Amino acid sequence: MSVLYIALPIAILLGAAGLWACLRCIKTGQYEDLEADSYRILLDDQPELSKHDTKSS
Amino acid sequence: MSPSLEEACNRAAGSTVRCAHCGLETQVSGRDTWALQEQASSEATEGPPKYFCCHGCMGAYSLIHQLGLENFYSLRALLDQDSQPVRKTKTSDSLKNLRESGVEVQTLSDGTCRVRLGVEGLHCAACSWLIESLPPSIPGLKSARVRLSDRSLELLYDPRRTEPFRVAEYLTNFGYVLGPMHQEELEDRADRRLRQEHWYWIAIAFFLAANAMWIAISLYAGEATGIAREHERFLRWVGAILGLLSAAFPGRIFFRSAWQSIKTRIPHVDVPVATGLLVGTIGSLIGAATGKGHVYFDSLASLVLLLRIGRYIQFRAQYRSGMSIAKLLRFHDIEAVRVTAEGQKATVPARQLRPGDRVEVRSGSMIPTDGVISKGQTELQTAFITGESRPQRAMQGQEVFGGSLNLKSTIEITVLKSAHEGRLGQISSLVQQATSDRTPLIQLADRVGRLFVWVVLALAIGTCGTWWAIQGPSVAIQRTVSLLTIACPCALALAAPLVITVAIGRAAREKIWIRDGNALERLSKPGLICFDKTGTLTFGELRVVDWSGQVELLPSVEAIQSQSEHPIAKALVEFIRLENAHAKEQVSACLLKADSVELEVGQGIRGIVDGREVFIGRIDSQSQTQTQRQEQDRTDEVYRKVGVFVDGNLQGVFRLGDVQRPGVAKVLSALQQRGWKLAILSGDDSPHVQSLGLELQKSGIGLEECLGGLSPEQKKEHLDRFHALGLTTVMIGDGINDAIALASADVGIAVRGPSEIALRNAPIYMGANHLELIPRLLDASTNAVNAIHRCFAASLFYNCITIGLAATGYIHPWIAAVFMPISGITVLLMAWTARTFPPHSKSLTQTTFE
Repeated sequence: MSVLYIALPIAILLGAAGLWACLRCIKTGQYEDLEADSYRILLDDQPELSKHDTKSS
Repeated sequence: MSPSLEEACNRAAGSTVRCAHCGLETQVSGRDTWALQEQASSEATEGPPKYFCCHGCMGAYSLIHQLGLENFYSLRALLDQDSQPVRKTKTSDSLKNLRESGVEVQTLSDGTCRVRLGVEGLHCAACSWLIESLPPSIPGLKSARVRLSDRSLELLYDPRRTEPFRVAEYLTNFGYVLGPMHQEELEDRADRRLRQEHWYWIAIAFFLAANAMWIAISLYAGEATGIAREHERFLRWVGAILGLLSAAFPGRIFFRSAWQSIKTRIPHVDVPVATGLLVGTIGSLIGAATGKGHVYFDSLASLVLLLRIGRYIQFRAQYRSGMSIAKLLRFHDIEAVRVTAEGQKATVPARQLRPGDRVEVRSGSMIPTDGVISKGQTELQTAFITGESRPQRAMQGQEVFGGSLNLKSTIEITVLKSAHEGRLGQISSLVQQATSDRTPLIQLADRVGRLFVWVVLALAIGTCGTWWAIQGPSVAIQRTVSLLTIACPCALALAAPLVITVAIGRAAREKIWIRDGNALERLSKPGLICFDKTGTLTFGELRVVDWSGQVELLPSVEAIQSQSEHPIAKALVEFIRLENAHAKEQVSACLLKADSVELEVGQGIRGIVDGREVFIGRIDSQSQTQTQRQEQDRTDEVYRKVGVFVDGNLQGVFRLGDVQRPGVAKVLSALQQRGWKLAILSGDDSPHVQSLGLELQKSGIGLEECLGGLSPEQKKEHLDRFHALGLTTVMIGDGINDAIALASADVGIAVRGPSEIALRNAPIYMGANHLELIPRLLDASTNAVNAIHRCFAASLFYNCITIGLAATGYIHPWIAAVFMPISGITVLLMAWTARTFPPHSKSLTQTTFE
């Protein structure tokens, strides 16, 4: 029994995981707008407004 | 104002500062600069005073601060985007009733609604951040997400507590305008689904091809250095599974289209592709099972990947949807002011108008649909509909067409026909018909592909038969399999769409937008170019041809005419300003002011300048000698004469007409040199068409036809007649009256004109009305087609070598593995670097005009 029989399927499975992630990205439209997200990552999250405000919204 | 702030203001008085909101430079003087203490920071530290150029900016600034969104400013500075003026518009009424405006509202399981709207006024990331930070401030709005690529906004909201209209109203305060997505954008969404599907399959094909390839490398390496028998078998099987998956899933589309081609008996490039894939798969499966013979799984998988990419490029290059030219007449976007019996006015979309409705048409707006003038009189510009270049007078009781532009005064019309039945609607449905009638030309790749199919099949049969006779069936089958696998026209399938795509990209840089890649291909062989006159060969508006009189008159004419919106007035003012620019020293000092300016409908305009009464208008309404009148009758047909009377005496005469664009003769003769025949098909009924034809003939340009007064349908008939003679017909026009002709010609080229939005969907749209671009476009087309031919030649050359090797039995899988990508890459490089648009030569760019 060679290590090949284990290593090769593992390699392909890892690749398949990458493929699955890529397909998911396509399906959810993450490649549609490469512009806005590249800015969005630089922005800090908006601090939560006071509790009163969030309740009313 | 706190004392310290006042002090700061006094200190700064007289200096130039920048407005804290808009960045406009403004002078600080104690009074008219608005200073505002930054409220948020006032508790902690006394910040420096902020200056504003106006109340509006101050309001916006404090609003943004109250919402706690002051990050906007730092972010804006950070990104250093060009700021653009924001057009102030009111919220469109169309958002009040979403369903009627055709906006799709999705209701999620928890009752939340999701809607996607177009945003106007979106410039940069700071804008998107500002909008996305809104939800806490609007009760019921759950999330807002901006997509910059198509300038849209997705809202998630609770329909019981808020509605998009509220959000839109709120955003208007910031200068963003929300509206329903336009038809084009909706089409884009349908496109997006298809695009995603393409990406999806390319990703899968890439995964399979990459894995098959490294397994193939191990196999080749094993062959060179020695490999255990069971390892080789294992690798072969893994490769076989990957190749099989590749052929079965991403490759399925080729089998399907090959099957279609067999069913309809039309040879297609996909037939040899599918045959190769099928034979290769079966052969390799047998090879893997028996452990003998060659395996081609890596070649198969990379083939599928390349073909998939080719499909995607082709999809991008192709006309978005064959019918989009039919959608070009977006008369449903025209808004109309409906007047109820009680005299109340409401803005409604034109398609909601019913016969009998009364509609108010203000000066400068478009008549929404066919009707009769029930109140008032005016002048109409009907160029879009009829091609008539001169403004038409319209009296009460006269019938008017939708799509005409009201030039002068507000009128009221009684609707005769609904928008769909009206002239505009009629044209629209004829355009639709013309588009669907047009037989698609067979693409070059398909034509070459057909030949290829037969040659390869013949070779395969020949190889099989020969080797069967010499060495028996097993060798024969193996070599036939090699041949079919290798002889794949993948470069053939890739080259043409790639060249076209590259050419389209370069054309866009020249401000030519090509939506239909086939159109570019069709322009490569000379045929017949039909021009529209008004707006295409001429400016489509009145311009001063020449004038006689004293130069001193000009400033007073300008003073009076600059107060009028009439096309003649505009032409005169433009002409005088141009003259002034030429002779600066003379007129710089005399800027006159006109008083008590009065419009005399149909006659002219009167005013008092410098204490003297000046009348500018029709000559025959004032005193005129007999000879003058006769002379006028002759030229009035083509040119309009306007006289300048000072205190009742004729002192100067302007001649106005629809002037030829400069360089028309040069462009036309350039086209003629390239072997194209020329014709003018105009809707203009005036003798101007004939005079233009004569003028052109004088400069040595032969016209096949020079026709005026054609209805849109007649233009189509003429084009069909030319087409029946076997000529490639090209229509170049700018108006709605050309729409049917543009759709029925082999190639329709729309140039920028008054109805530009309407024609933006034409197969080819020229963003600038530089007629010089047309010869360049034709050259580019010829170059592109030549480049395609070169790519085909290279691809066939490679194929000849590999087919020869395969047929003689010298092929080895690694030859296939090396040759296939090399041939593909060479052809791709050739296509990519092909020069389509010649570099600008000076003579072509010198005379730019618009």
